[in-house]
Amino acid sequence: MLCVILGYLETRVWDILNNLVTMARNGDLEAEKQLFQYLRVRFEYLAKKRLLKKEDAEDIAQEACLTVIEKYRTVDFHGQFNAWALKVLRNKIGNYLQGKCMRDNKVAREVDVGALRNRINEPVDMILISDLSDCLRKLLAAFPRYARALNLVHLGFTTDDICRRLDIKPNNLYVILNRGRQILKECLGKE
Amino acid sequence: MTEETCIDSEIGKMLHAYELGALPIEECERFEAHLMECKACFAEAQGFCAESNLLMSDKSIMDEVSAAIGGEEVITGKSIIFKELKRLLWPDTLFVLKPAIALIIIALLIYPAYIGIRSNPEEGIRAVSAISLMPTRSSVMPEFEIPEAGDIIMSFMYRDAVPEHEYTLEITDKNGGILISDKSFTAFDKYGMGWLLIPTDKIKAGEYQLKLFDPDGLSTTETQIYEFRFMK
Repeated sequence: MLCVILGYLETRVWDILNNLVTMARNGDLEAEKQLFQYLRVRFEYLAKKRLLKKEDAEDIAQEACLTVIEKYRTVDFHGQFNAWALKVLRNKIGNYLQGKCMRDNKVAREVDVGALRNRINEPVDMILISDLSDCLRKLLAAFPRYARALNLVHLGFTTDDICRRLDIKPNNLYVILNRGRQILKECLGKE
Repeated sequence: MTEETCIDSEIGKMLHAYELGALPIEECERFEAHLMECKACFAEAQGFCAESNLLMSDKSIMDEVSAAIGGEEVITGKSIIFKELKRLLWPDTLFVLKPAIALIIIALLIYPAYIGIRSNPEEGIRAVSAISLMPTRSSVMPEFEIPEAGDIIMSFMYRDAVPEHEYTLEITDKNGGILISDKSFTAFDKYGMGWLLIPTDKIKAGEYQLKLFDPDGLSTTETQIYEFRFMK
């Protein structure tokens, strides 16, 4: 039953997006605008996760959006619009990192992995840091498994290494992390 | 999550691991593809973006987490080796499939055999080959192969032999050279069958003659002679 519902929901999202693409391809400007908006927010978020500078991430997301909007009418993406659009973004990020590496004379992989650590230069919100610190202190005391997992993440371990060290399965690790996140959100009044 | 529901909860549960940058690159790409489709997860991720960035990169937050842990995870060495060994020998499988159990069973099977070999009281005994000489009217000389290893037990018949009585036994080669000579040979049973152990290192290929007689003249048979040949 659950599978049927999930399958239905998945189909619905796909249908909405595919309808949007089809309508935009047929010259519906409103649909094209919606599609552009849909991609822009996602591309920005994903690029920020991968790149160190917020401004660079926004520029690249913008560039990737424009490329998709320019080419989606002619390119055959075999019904996989999302996958194709994501590939465009990844290529843009890859090119940016490669250019940056050549300028900085570094190995591309190092920069990419470093960028994945999420260090985006954003103005520091001192109130948020203070609130987060308070909540985190409570959380760490009440939920030591989350604290250990988070500490291992800070030390640069991936999920596989963390699971091995904590002697748990990846599913359990995801549950622990999400539970900790949920408690943090509740504490911060974001629920 | 929010009003929307995640379209694939299997991938959706990786959300916080992705936010913290802990996913391996393949999983990370899989989750990004999911974010492109799933409105619920994307809204959730966007709403917690600033917090997750701070959790991931703010120095004071990181120090706080490390202090709460007491720096225990930095320790490598023995604890890691022990954990790896435990994972290898005692994985999370069915009890009967654990390598440690298999090793114990193998050890239990091998140890008694090992002890048995170590404490064998007959250690040093060599393998033997048996040959038999019987009186015959045939003129064909019996032939025997010299074994590559081990000794030869030769059995022969001496009619009217009496157990425990002393007889003279001689084995000579074609040229009259004495191979074995025993003037007090007593190894006869009550049926007149005698037994002799010949070490292989004494034997060379060639023709031999075994001579048996009773120096006291008790037997009706005077001298029993057997001729035979050893071959390589």
